[in-house]
Amino acid sequence: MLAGTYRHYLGSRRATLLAITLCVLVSFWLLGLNPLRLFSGNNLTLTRDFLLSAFQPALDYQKPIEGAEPFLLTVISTTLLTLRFALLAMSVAIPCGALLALLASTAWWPDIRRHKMLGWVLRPLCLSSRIIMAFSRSIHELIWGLLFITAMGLSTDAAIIAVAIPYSGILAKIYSEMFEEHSREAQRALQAIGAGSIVAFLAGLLPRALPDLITYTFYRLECAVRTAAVFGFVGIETIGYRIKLASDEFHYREIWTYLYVLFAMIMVIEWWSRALRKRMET
Amino acid sequence: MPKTSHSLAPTFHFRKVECRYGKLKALTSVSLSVERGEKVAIVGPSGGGKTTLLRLCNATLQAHSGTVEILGKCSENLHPRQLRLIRSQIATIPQDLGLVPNLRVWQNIVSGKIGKLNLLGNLRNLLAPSKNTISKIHSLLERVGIEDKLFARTAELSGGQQQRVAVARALFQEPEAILADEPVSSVDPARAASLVELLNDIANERGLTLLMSLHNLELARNHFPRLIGLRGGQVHLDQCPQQIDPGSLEALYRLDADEILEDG
Ligand SMILES: Nc1ncnc2c1ncn2[C@@H]1O[C@H](COP(=O)(O)OP(=O)(O)OP(=O)(O)O)[C@@H](O)[C@H]1O
Ligand SMILES: [Mg+2]
Repeated sequence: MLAGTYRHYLGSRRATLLAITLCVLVSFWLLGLNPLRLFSGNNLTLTRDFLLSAFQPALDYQKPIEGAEPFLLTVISTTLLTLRFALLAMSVAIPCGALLALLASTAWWPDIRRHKMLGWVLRPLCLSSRIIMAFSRSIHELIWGLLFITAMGLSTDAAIIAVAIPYSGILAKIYSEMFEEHSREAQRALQAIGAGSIVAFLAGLLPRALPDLITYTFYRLECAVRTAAVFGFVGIETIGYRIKLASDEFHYREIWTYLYVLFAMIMVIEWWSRALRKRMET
Repeated sequence: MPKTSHSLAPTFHFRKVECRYGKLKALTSVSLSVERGEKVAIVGPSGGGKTTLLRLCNATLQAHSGTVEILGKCSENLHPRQLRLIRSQIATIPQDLGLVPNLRVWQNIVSGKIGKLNLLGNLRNLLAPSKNTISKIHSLLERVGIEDKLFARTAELSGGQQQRVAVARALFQEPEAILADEPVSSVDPARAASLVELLNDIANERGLTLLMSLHNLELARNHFPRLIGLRGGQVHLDQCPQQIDPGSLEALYRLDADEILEDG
């Protein structure tokens, strides 16, 4: 009896998996994707060259350039530029995001049934901050970038602000959700012994949410590094710019050097974030 | 002069108090008085109104009719500042303890004074406390028997140890009264008894009023000179344990017809 049910259960699971696989294949076909094309004719050699280059990333220019600075120096300065771009964008986005999140969250509000006047001030503030959050993150950083670069010309500052705007909105949304979701028991306990609502929020809820806030912020820093790289394709001299130059020349080994640098940056951020979280929790 | 008149007033004084949640009456016509230094256990079935009564005592809930006086002050229509002042004189140990698990034990205890300090004082206490404060907290931890946990992370303590942290926080507050809502529901009987004893001893040492709701009738009878039984939002009994007759205790906890499960 039980075995029969079990077999039935397994059977239906298999059917589900099969259906998902079929859906994926059908959508490939509908989209005109054909993985086999990667391996046909001329593409095959290109693909092979590209993959083989992974094992020998460049340490020097594949084709020497007259008067250029050494390749590794370029790699280092490009890496620093990319990191600086990401850090600057985050250092604008974090305070803006935190401020928007506080305005959009009701977690620190005093009892507005008791303070009617405050309600009249806080509610519109909350609503407008939610609208700003939604608007700023509904437009992708690349589009913000295009707008700013059109308006201000190609400059790193414009690009940084273009990234900071949607990132503020995204951080604010996640921060405010974290404020609302963490359990309020400590905050309530502190209010019961006479803490004002803001103090109770700072001492009872914020410490509780802090590890999550920090982990998410580091994840966003990771995204910012990736975005910084992508902005290279618009012309800002980050890693993406070098990758584009190298790929125009089919210098696959140089591309791989930059890809490994990106990978290393993400790993370092991940490790840093873990170390911080661990310190806060043990 | 105000000091003496203050100390004459009972800690809690209820006069014909009614309290509702929406339409549901949680307390009806409750009149009682708890004097300074008195130790009272509140017993009764689930939904009887124990938590509601305790929340009226620290003014986190307002009566809909009748009056509640806390330390001689009517708790109605208070200015937020006065409300906070009153609450800062009453320590509350909620059932869930209300500790921040990822803070250190001393940080949780230091927030006992949160209602008595301003924002800056609180930040200072939480981030960079004085040596004096730390040694005071250490001696409180000694009193509750977990002095080795001063710098431990609160989440790493057992349930019983966390209860002691909550007690130490209440003591650090230096209150006039301690309210405890079923503080022992999550530990074994031996630890439950020792915590109730601890709170009683502390209340005696410092002359504090102690008001504790308990599901364990045995504990209530053994450790408290006065029991208040709440059922259906009304005071069903209010006596010292020796005078209570078994019949009224049985009536206090009797299941209502709609609470009895049919045998299927
Ligand atoms: N926040 C609330 N909203 C609506 N009804 C509530 C609320 N809190 C309590 N009640 C109702 O009020 C009545 C009294 O509840 P109360 O929590 O005071 O009982 P209690 O004696 O503490 O019960 P227990 O022993 O289960 O903790 C119950 O019928 C309960 O359903
Ligand atoms: Mg209760």
